[in-house]
Amino acid sequence: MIILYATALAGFYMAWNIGANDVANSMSSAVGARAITVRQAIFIAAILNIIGAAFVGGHVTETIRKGIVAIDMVKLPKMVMFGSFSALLAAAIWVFVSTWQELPVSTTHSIVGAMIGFGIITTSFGGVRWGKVIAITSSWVISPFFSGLIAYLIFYGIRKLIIIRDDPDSSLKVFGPVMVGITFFIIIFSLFAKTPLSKRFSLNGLQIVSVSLLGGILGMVISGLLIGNFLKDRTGDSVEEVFRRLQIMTSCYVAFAHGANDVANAIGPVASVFSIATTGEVQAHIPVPTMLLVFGGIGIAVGIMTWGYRVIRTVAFKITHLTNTSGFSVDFGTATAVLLASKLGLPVSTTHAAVGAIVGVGLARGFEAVDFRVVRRITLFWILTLPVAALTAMLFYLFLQSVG
Amino acid sequence: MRFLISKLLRRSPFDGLIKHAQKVRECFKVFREAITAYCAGEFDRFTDLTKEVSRIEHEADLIKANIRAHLPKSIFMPVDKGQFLMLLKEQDAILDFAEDALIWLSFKKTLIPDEIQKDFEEHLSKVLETVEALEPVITHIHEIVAGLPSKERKELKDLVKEIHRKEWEADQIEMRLAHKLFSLDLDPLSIFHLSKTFDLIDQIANHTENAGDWIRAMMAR
Repeated sequence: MIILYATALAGFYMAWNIGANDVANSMSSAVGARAITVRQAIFIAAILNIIGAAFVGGHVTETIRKGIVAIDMVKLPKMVMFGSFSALLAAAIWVFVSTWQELPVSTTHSIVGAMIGFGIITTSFGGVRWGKVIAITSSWVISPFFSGLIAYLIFYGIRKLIIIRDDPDSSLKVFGPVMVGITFFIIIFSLFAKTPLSKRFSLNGLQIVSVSLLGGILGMVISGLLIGNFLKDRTGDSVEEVFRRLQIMTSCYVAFAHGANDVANAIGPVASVFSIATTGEVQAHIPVPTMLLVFGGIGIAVGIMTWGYRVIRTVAFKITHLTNTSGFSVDFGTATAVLLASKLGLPVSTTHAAVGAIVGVGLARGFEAVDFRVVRRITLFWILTLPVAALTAMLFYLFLQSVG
Repeated sequence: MRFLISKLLRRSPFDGLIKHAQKVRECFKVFREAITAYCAGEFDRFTDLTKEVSRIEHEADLIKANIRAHLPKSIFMPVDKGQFLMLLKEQDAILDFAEDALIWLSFKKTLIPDEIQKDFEEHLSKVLETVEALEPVITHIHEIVAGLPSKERKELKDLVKEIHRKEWEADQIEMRLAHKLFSLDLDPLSIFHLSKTFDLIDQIANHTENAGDWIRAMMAR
């Protein structure tokens, strides 16, 4: 029983970390570009995360996250319980250390690393699916490159097709709705494809595509009318105004999807321990009680309101000239890359995709000063994530084994 | 992902440039008063105002140094970093010459002869007009680097041309002024003092023009 409470505590701490580090950032580009205020960002992110986690978060999870370890090789329930707890704690501590070092690491990859450590120690290398590990490693290169490319092209396109035209307003009338349509398509498609929402509505691939297409076209038509109306009685920077609204939507989407996807990183191991404690058996897939999801969602929300608040405020204060068009391009690149990659079966991290998107927009001359040296340090931490989390998890496991 | 944006994206160096431009405006208000005080023979007041100009020039220097200190090699900017630093250097040179002119004036109390008073006044006004023409261009720097619609781009190009025109006019007046100065029956020391003063004041317009040229270079497509 103690192990269950301890795991729940570690899970809450991990959720807090996710809220404090990851989700805060989904909102900070919008805040930096003055699309929303810090207060609004906190409120929106907290609410969307709880909703995302509780209603869309996976109600079924793999006992071993991401199938890193072959479950049939780990038979003893006690091993899984200790393993889940050790992995969770190791991942949480690594995320904490990198937060303290002010560098972004992926919570997903931390938990994957910790799971590898658990696999190595319980099955002595044999049970770890190294193919999966290699696929994850490849995403370090692929997801930032993808999102960087998309963000670059989108920003370049916005500038070439709208901003520097003779008459930006009339270009906006043509290309604005197209952008809105594509954004709607991506958001709706991701909502169904990236989260377990499609299972709840039992939609298949084709249906998802048609629903998203419909949403996109609807968005295009409505925004076409709205933009036309909007431009009639407006002076000033109408391009930025339109993208300001679009950016609010993409930021909300990123926050929502984050809650829906990442809550499992914190809650999955808790659910494993909970399932074993109540049934006494080890299964490959286990149900996650809604209570646990809400618990995780609240953990994330608390993270946003405590640390996330400071983070967003720092960003908003520090970045003086983040435009809505560049902020939108970052969000769009990130969301699209995550979607595309996950459809290709590649495990991606939103964190990695976001770094790529920022660099991409930077190369398209969308930011006034990008520090590329930081990219090197970030990459180093990404590479360190797997071995460090694995080793820490192994140490915790050995410790637990010797005392329990 | 916490510090992602705030670490990757640095504070915009263009904000510092605009702050520096505001110092230029502040400085030239005092500069003008200082010259007026000198011409009126109020030398105590002139000394105070010169000190004030030096203080503002120093503040602007600190802004410039701060911008440079925060642009290591790893920083990527939407415009050529060299062009940006040259622009900053030229804008700072405007202040340097304002300070130099006043300090040079303070070395000797030479009254400006009545015959050239009007031309001197005209030259000074034209130089100050040149400086004033730069600020509206600088305040648009964010838009310039973000990309401008053709119409606004043309307007800004015209503003830079305006700086050129004013600088050229200032040159013409200075030539006339120098010509008259040497035709006067003045002691050589006074001629030397005034001649170099005119030259230093004219340098203000020259560096303003250079600053405008660097902006124009940044706008080139």
